[in-house]
Amino acid sequence: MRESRLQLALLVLAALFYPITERWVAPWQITVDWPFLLLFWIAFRRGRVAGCFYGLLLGLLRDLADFSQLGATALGFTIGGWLLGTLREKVDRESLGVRLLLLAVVYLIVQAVFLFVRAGWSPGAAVLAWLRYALPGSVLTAAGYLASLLIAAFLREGLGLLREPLDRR
Amino acid sequence: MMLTGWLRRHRDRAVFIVCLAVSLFLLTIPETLRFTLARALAAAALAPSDGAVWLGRHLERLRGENEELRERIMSLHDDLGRAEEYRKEAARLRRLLDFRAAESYRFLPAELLSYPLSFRERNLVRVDRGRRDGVRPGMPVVSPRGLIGAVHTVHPYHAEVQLLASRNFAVSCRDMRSRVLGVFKWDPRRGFHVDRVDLGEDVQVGDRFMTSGLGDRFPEGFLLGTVTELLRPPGALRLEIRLAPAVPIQTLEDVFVVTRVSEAAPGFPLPTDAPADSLEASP
Repeated sequence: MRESRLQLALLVLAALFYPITERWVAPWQITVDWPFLLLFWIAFRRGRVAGCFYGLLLGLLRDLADFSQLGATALGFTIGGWLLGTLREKVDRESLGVRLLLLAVVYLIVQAVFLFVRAGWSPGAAVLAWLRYALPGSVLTAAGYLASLLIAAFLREGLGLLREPLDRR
Repeated sequence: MMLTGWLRRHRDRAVFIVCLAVSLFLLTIPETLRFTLARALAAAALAPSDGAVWLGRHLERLRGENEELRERIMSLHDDLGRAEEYRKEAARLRRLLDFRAAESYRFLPAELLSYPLSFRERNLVRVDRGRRDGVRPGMPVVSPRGLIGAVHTVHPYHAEVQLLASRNFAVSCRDMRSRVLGVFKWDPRRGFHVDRVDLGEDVQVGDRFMTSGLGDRFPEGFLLGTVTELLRPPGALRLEIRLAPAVPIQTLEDVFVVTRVSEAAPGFPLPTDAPADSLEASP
């Protein structure tokens, strides 16, 4: 439980800095989608109601960050949160591989919706952009999820050592 | 009723539909309105971070001002130190000047023990300084306002001072304005007057006479009196100049015996209208 809270804190922190990383740090305009990972964390634990609600909220915040298409990410994240909340009941939630696969698939769906709207409802341009950005983005986002897990585990160990009395070490 | 029942049964789907509707609604509103709305929402959402950024910039500016003020303080501190040096230097130079003055004149403060009573006593006053204090006959006696007289008789613990108002007392003097030389004297008929000034010399009422330093008896610069009357008697070859004494004997209080006079003496440092306390006595 403590590890998951640490992961949540890390994801919130990363999502807060997402506009900066997206604009200045992202190589080839592809980066870990931290707001989506935050949505994944929420929807995978709280269900589809929380998933679609927080999807709308996080999507709106992300849309506000670039002013480009207010509602595009909100629509994609709402659908993504609903899907994550629905699918979590049908898969093995303890399996890391399943979680990663689910994360990547839903991310690709969210990106498809987002790019379809951003491309002016044009399927051709959306498919090209999806291949160009969404596919590598899903790999990076899955890697970001793994990294957040590892960092949270590392922090948990570190905090546990700090809290443990000296005579028990 | 049916809708309420459906919402109760399918709460999750209802939330999903509402969220979808909100998203689609945002996508369908006109672009200009969408931008305006986005800006307003962004401004509201980012207000805390904007405040943090403003605070950061403000702190940065304050830090700059702080650095500037610190440099200013250092500069002022430097100036203060320099001013302190100047002050010490001025004090040192002043001590040097005092030392020079002390080398030129040594003023031995003395207290009057008695006032002159009659001419029989030859207009003498007695002071509480004597031979043991280094007082010798002939030493000038002054007050802050001018010359009083000279030491006449010295005893171990006191001395008698002959005042200017003595018949046999004469002082070489000079007009402070025109530099005309004369001899300052007193007699019962004419009072204080200046003798041996030719008729053609430039002397006016109101001129002040001081000791000239000639004769080595009195140093130059001690004030004697102010011209009150200027007479040209018929057939006379010299002016008759009458003066009011610089130091009226009735007001005499503090006196100083000039115990040492060097050749480098620049003159008695009495300004023309100096206050009575401007003369500092050196022990």
